[in-house]
Amino acid sequence: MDSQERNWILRAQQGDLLAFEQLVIQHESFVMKLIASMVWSREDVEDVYQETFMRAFSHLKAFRFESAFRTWLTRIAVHQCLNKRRQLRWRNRFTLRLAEPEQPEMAYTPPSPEPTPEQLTMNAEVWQHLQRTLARLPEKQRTAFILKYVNDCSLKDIAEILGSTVGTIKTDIFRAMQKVRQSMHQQFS
Amino acid sequence: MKPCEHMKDYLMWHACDELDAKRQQEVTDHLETCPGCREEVARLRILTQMLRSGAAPEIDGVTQAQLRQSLLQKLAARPQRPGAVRPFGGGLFQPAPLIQAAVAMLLVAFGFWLGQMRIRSTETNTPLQTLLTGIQPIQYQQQAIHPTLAGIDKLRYNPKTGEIEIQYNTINDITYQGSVYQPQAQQLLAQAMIREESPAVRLHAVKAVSGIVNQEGELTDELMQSMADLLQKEQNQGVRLAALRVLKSVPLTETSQKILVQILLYDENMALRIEAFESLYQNHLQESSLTPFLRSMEQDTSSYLRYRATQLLKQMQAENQPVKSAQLSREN
Repeated sequence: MDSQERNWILRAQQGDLLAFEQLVIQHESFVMKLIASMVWSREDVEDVYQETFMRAFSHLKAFRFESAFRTWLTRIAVHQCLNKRRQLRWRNRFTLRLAEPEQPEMAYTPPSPEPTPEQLTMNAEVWQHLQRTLARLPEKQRTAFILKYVNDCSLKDIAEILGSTVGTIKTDIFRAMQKVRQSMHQQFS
Repeated sequence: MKPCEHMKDYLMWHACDELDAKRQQEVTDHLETCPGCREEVARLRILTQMLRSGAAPEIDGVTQAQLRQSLLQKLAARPQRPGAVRPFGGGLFQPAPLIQAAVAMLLVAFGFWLGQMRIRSTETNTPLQTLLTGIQPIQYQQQAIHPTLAGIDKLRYNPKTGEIEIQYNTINDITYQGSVYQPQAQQLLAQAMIREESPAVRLHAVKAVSGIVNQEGELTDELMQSMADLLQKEQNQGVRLAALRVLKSVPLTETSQKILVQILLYDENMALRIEAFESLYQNHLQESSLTPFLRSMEQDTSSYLRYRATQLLKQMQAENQPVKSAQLSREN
């Protein structure tokens, strides 16, 4: 953690919103990438983003510099994502009884800088298939896998975020990777 | 080409640089000579790259800035400072931890005082429970034990001496010690059989009552009523069986007969039915009353009960035969 980030955190702990804004700017892309991979509707991504940073701000005094700020923030984001997924599961269960939604949890289409139509079609197709595959993974495997391959976290950081050991995380990611590859192989080979 | 089986576990971690330096070097050396493993690493790197760069959707900068502004506006509108504990009493005042601790201790002390007052009041005044149930509290060694008091911690019965000890699970450690033949003890046992939650305590109470029956040959009305209630409501089959065995040794009353007949005819537990039958039979139920049950038992699902019924009916017919023939000869 650099001294500037430390300074921002200390000021934000005293209620300085400008300092907190700097922290948000520094970490929001990382957090947003994680959230967008775990919660797929645009509306829910925005909700979880807001909830994550609101919660981080209100609990900032509990941060004691024992881990990296990003690890601490990611832990909050993961909890918020899992909470949202649980809410969605209940909501979908309820709405399914009232009226069948067309594509639950799959409304978000990824925007891309300037892709060719073929690239867009292929990326969207691959991404949608990946989403479906990831959705079928057990919660712990999916979270560890996304943190590793989408957010590029180290195994040590993932273990700290998820409150587990490196060995367990390795096993979870290995199993998730096997399932993802198997599914991709069946779909696109 | 397929990757080498012994390298499979390492290739994945090699592709994302998660191996230690020594192992990483080993895998790199192996890849130089093995096209199968090289192909596997290339495939893994493509997937990893795809997941990192293209797979996760990105929010454009404008949307992100809008989201950030909305977040900061919300945070600015919040009344509390970060990490602040919500003030006690809806923000009227925020007591220091020492004051909070003092208030908590005062509340605990007040609770104890209230408890003590209640215990004293039960000793001096007529408790509400007495008015409701009509059962007077028992004065024992300067303490008032209410028979309907539930929560027995231990109930010990010594069949040799006929002594019982009942320890109540109360804050002021109420314990009763005395002979089971005392009316007070019998009153406590009668209540324990029907009120206690623990089947072990109820079973010990039944055993103590069986001691009374062995010595006195009969039960008080209150104990008999409790036994009847126990047999009707008890869920534990062991306790019911023990209670039935006690009833076998006491003279039949109208209530106990009704319960025994009910168990004999309708209960699902075969051991209890047999016990009820033996109890009715050994208590010399009048022949006229017994015959209808014996007739219905001739069709019973239990082979033992069928056998006993047939045997007894034959025995009764044989006993009646000489009397009837003597009556006929007298009439002639």
